[in-house]
Amino acid sequence: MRRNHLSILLPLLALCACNSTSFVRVVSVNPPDASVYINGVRVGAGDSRPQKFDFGNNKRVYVQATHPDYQPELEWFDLEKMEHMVDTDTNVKLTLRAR
Amino acid sequence: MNTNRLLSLSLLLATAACGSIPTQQFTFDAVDTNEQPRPCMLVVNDDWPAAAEKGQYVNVAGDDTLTLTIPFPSAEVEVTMAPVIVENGKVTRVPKSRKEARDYSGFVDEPRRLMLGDPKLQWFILARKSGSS
Repeated sequence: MRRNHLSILLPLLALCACNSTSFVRVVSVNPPDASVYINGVRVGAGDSRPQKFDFGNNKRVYVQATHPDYQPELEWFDLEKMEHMVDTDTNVKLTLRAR
Repeated sequence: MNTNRLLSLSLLLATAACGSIPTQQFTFDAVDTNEQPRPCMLVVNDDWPAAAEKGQYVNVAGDDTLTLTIPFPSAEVEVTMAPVIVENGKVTRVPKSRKEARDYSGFVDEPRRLMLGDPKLQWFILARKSGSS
C-alpha cells in the first residue's frame, strides 16, 4: 500500500519540478549603486544579487535599472530566453550609459 | 425543439467566444531617474487624441497610477508613456505627438510593446532629454 503511494507521489513530484517556472539568476548593474526593478517592483540597489524570475503568472518578466546620472535601461525575458540563460549559466547584466 | 434551441445557443456562444478580442488589464506608473513620480499621458497605439479625451494620465492629480484594460487584436500593442507638464493639478499642454511631448516637457517619452500575459504593473522610468537640467 505504502509502495503504491510512493509510486504515485514520486513521479508527481518529478513532474512538478520539471514544470517549474521560477528561476534564480544573479542580477548585476553598473553603476553598482543603481536601483533595480523587476516587473515594476523595486528589488533593491547594489551590485550582484540573486533575484527570482517567476513565469508562473506572466509570460515575460522585465528588469529595469536606474540611476540619477545615467540613462535608465530595460530588458525583457521570456521563458525560452531564461531557460537558455540557465543552460549556459548566464547571469543578468545591465550597464547604464552616462547621460 | 428545446434541444435545437440549446444547440443553436451553444453554437452562437462558441462563435462569439472565438471572435472576441482578448483583453488584459494593466496598471501604469511613471517615475524619473530620481525615482520621483513623473506626470505622463499614456497613449495606446499612437492614438493621441483618444488618450487626451479619455484622460489617460498618471501622476497629474497627485502620486497615482492608471489602470487600463487593453484589447489585443494582434500579438503586440504599442503603448507610449508621454511626459507632460503639470501646473496647479492641470496639464499645461496636451501633447499630440512624441516629439511635442519630448520638446515641451524636457523628458524623453518611452514606447513599449506589450503582449498578452505581460506583468500587470507596467513601470516606466523616464530620463531627462540630454541638455535638460
